[in-house]
Amino acid sequence: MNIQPVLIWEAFKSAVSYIPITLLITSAVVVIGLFFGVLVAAVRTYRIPVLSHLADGFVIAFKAIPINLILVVSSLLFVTHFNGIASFLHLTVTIRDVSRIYVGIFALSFPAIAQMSEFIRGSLLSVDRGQYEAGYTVGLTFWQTFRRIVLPQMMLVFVPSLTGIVIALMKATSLVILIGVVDVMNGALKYANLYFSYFEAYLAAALVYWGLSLCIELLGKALEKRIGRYRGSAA
Amino acid sequence: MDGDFFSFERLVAYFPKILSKFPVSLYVVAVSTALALALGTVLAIIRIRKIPVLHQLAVVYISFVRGTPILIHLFLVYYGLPLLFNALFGYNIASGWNKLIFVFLAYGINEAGFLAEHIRAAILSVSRGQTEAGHMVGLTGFQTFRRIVLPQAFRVLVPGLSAMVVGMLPATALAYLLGVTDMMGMITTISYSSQHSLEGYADAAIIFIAASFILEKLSAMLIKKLSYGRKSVDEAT
Repeated sequence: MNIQPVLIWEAFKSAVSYIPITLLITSAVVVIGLFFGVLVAAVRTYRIPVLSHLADGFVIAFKAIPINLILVVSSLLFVTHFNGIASFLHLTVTIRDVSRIYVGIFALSFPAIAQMSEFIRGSLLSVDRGQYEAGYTVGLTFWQTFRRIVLPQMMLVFVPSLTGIVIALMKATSLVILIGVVDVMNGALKYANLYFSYFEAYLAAALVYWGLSLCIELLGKALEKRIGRYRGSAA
Repeated sequence: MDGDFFSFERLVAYFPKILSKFPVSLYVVAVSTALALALGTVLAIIRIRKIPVLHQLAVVYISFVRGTPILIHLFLVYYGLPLLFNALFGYNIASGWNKLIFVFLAYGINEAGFLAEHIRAAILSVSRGQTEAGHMVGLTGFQTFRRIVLPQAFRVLVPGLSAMVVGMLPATALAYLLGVTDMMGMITTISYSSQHSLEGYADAAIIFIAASFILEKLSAMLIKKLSYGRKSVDEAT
């Protein structure tokens, strides 16, 4: 048995045609992760009572639970409970109307929020307390201080790590194959069952993911440059 | 149906069975981390010394591993290694080898790509004067590296390494896809006979949370111990 370049090419073409699905899931997860990640990080950083303990627990739990477990359980609950919940809410949708992609996005959001909030919290804490005090001293409110003084500084720390998180989340979307979503990974494997060309298919999928990662890295570098444009040499 | 969907009795009943497979995950983490430390150090040295050809290969390797999912690494090793052995030595290893070997290699290869950069930074953090001092007292290059540079670099490496190990633990939950019976594999086995898997997943989630909590506490202790009364890297930043 030898590696057949023709089959790599076939798998590659099939995988490329599913790039939009992978990017859709990735961007949805990144947006949800950023939005709720900011909330979780703010609650934890400024120690808002009760909520901060809940947020601590959430982050500890979803950093520790394997992503594939979250996906499988979400899919299981979706299959068994969706119709019940929909009819309870008097919605006319049934399980057949909802794409598995949304289940994937839902499941991947939990680890995304947990990871994102950790990095946001880290960059928030990297801004010295004195910066807030300086803001209050010149008569700015908390929000003004945050938006004009703290945020621009924390972004310098956050954006470089954001690239890494986006790549990690994009790679994690390959797990949606476990709940039957056809993304880059599944697309590459489409013909593998026919020809037993699994190695070729995985190689093709790897090349597509590699390409996507390099693109995200380039975008990240460009964003870093833009954000650090007032910084001189440091960024 | 709904009342039977999730029961605490089953949660308790499955717990010991699933916990008994937890060592498999730890085993994967331990062996692959050891592999990754060795391979990562080699990659780091190649990059620091800028050895021609190997240097470029190391850069491509690190970029590939960091840019592709671990799921793919698992299957590339699983399907690729037998092909490689067949081509080189002409015998079939696919059926004879323990599935765990593929898992160790895949996770080791994956982790090495991430560790190499940590190790490189750690080695570079040891001041040049330390190497010169080693040469001064008559140690060879390798002796200096092993006895003087490496121990100091290791202390810098520990926070990053322990964070990686904690992160590795949930990632090992993919090993069952190659047919290794870890906790996830056990849940699948249980669900075949009992038609219930949710309780098993809940058990596994509890075990994973507890284990990473303990691992995190242990690594915090280790970091504190290794700082020998100095300010640890964590506190300093």
